[in-house]
Amino acid sequence: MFKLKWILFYTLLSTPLFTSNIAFSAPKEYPIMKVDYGPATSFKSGAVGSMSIPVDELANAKVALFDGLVVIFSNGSNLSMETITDTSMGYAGVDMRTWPKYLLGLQNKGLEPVAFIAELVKSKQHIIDSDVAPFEVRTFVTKQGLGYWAVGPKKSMIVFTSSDIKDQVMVVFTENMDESAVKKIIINGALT
Amino acid sequence: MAIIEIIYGYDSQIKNYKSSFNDATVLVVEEALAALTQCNEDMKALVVDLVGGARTLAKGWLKKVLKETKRQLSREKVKFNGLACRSVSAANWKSAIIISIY
Repeated sequence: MFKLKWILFYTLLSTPLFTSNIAFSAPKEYPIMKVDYGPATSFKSGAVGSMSIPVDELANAKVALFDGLVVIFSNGSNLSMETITDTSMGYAGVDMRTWPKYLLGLQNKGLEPVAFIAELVKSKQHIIDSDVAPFEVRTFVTKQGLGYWAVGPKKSMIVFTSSDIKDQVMVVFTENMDESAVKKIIINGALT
Repeated sequence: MAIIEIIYGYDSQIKNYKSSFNDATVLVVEEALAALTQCNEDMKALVVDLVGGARTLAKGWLKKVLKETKRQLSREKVKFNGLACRSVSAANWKSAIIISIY
């Protein structure tokens, strides 16, 4: 009976915390160490971020230019990389460093135009939540600023932002790539 | 091609793939457009107009209305009341489009 009371007490205590996590999720800080994987090939699509893919991963890969870059690896996993700017979004002058915050549900109000926030909230709901279906959003520190990693069961979305450049972000979508491969292929090259 | 340009805008790199696009590409573009209709009112209006007001989009709808879509697009350019949703959609389905032509 005593044990049951304690279980009920902890259940009641944890319920509001759990509920608030669903309504407004905070990113998980993800400390990650740079690893030396040997020679790498670097790809850049704009002023923010770059991707250094270890050469051994590129064996028999297919690389295509398509509004950015698409890489299909020999094991069938793939990634696409591109730079998204304030003007390509139709909101010249907006601080693009807030883009991942609204798109990943980490923030729902701010100084940005109402329409910009509303569109990203809708994009989260109809594209990110339904197609990437992230079970966790992580943040990590890079050479240039802050990175965001939305981890889903099959897909991931990684966003690189810069502390100094506010008009653009670099975005990478992956499919069928496990977490260790995402770290090795996409994130590692951006770490200090 | 014109339909892919709805999502990606004009891009000379994309134009180079035109002759490689196939039925699998149409299915990928269909998925991307279906998502766009959920978050962009202009896109929704165009698609609803094309499919005759159907509330849900059955698989294969784009192929059925491909000719009519081309005709509509040649008459007037699609106007978007916001590009944010389009840029997310474009990035999300990019790999799938390339995989469809390999």
